[in-house]
Amino acid sequence: MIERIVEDWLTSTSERGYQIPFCQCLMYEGYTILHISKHGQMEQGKDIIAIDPSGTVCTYQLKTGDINLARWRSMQGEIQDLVELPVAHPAVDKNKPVQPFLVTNGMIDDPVRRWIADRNKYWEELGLRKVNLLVKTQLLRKFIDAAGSFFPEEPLRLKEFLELYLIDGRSLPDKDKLASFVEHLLGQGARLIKSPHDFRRRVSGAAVIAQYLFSPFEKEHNHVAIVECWIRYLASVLALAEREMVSQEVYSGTYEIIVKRIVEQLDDLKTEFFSRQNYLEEPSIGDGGIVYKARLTMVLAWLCALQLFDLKLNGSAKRDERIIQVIKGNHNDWLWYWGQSATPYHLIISLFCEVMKESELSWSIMLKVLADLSLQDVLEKSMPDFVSNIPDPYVQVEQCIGAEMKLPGFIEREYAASLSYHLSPIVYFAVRRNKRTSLNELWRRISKTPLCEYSPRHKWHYLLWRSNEGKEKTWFFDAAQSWRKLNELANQKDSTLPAIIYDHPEFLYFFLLVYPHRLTSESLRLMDEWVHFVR
Amino acid sequence: METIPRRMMREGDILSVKSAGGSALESEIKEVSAGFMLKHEDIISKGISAYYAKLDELVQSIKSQEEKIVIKAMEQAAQQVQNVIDAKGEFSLSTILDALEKMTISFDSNGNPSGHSIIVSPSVYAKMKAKLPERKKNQEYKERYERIMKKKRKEWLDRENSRRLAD
Repeated sequence: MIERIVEDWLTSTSERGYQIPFCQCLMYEGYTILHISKHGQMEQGKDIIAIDPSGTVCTYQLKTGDINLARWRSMQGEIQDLVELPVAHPAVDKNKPVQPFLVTNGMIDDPVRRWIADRNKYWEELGLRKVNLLVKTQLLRKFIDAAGSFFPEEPLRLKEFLELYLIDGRSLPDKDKLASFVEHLLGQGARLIKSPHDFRRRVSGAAVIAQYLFSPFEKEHNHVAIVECWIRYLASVLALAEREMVSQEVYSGTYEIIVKRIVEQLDDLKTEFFSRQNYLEEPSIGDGGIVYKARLTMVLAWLCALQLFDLKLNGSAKRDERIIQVIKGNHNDWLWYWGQSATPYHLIISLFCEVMKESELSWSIMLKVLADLSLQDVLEKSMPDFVSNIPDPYVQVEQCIGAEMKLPGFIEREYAASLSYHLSPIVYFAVRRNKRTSLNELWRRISKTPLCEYSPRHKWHYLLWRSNEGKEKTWFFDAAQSWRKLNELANQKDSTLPAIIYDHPEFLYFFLLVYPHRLTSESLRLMDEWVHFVR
Repeated sequence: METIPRRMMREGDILSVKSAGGSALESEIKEVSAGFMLKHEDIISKGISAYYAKLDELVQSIKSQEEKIVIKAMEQAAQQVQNVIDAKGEFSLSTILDALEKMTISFDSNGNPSGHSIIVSPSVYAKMKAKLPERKKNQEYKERYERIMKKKRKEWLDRENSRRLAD
């Protein structure tokens, strides 16, 4: 069955679709990936540059589909660049030989093979290495070998797999099912891995299957869904790395490849966003109103997250003024706070505004969230009713829309009784910005709101979708709260996050949009550290 | 029990609660379950009604277990802050007043006390039921009740007015 499934996926995907599993397989085979070119912007004929276990530099050009003579003629120039142009990378010695590969998920016609054989002789005479071919059958073998032992065999897992694959690619992924499946693929909670080799084997096998599951969203160019899927995969990989104390050297290749894929997809989202007049999706009969607002809140936040991520890694990255203009012009109409799972979206938009020196706008966005998070009409509430009417961060946007629209199957009350998971991080956010007057005005409400935060027993559980070992803490701020003490709490470093997150704090800009329940005082403090510095 | 709000604990296995008054309580997840037996003959003759007949029994069993857990947790919390009156199984009107004196009471926007309930055992309830009508005629009770409420209202106002950021 695995053969049929992998073949079905491989023959229908693009070069971008099999790029990640291909790189993961290379890493499993002991290759070090040096460079992956940006989608559609092949550099000097090379999509991937890697070093094989013997130290030879290998370059790859990835293609989609069968290559016949007509197609070959149109791509000859690229192949010539692949073989003849030296590798321009600081880690590569230009004097060392380079092994080029032409890779396709289709087949190569015989006349083309003959042509390549002739060209190879010519290149050998020039002292260059001949181009090697990797075609569908070889890729298939590579991917089946990688995925085979991880492919779900138990009927229930197989059912989950098929349900995930048969999802409508225009929707958002089923977060619970996808997380459970991906975490299972990577073996969370199962037997321990023994070596970096085992880790790479698991990660590459899971990548093939994950890529297959994500393909419905790729077919529909559903950028946000694709990004969510890869973040979920990466979070599961990082959880495994943290649990097994895998060194940065072992997991960093995967981190870089996936992050690059996420950034590329967000670039595509940005291009589409600025090319459209409106953001209605078909069928428009179910669109508009809060559905439209929710979509725009999410999309704007993703664009801001991309900018924050870029700026965090590269201070001189270009600041896109168009995004801030869109926020300034539309934030009142577009932003919707549907529940605590919306907090990270508003927060990321606010942080971006702050980085763009729009402090007033930044604070006005968060002040609304702060007011929503604290109890409403406190005088009318007796003690047992002290629960927030804002759905907790575990309630997804689809459920909030369903409850708001009173759709069958969505019971409003079920989502109503919750504690405030995000009030304390946002209060500390305000304290770090010295917003004492606003906080004082709201303190009557804030001090009556029950606060909540989840602390997993094992730090690596922070990267899981759900953790079953840990403590859920509930408490209140003091009624008469010392400002000095609040400042101490707001700036306290408590090291509760996995070490990997402290090594890659930039990942939080993406991670928290997909895992809103992981927004804690410490994760926001960590994100804020850099923004504070820029501010 | 119906007035106690319920919510889902989404993650973890330990619940740690620190009240507004500062008392802390930590508890692990407890299983509440109930089962029933049905004979094959009953299922054959009554069909789904055989199950329905057992449902009430099942609900009562779960409810009773939940009540025990909640009352035990409340007892623990009260013991922890020494907010306990031992009436030694007896009941008098002063027992209610003694209890009110120990409680933190909130008031609604109309100035009426809100959010407090009395939970007693069935035997005390019977005694209480007999005694309670007396409170309307008992001048001493009424005066003391008013004094307590006046004090509680003041405490509540002080508490509410202190809700601000201090230095």
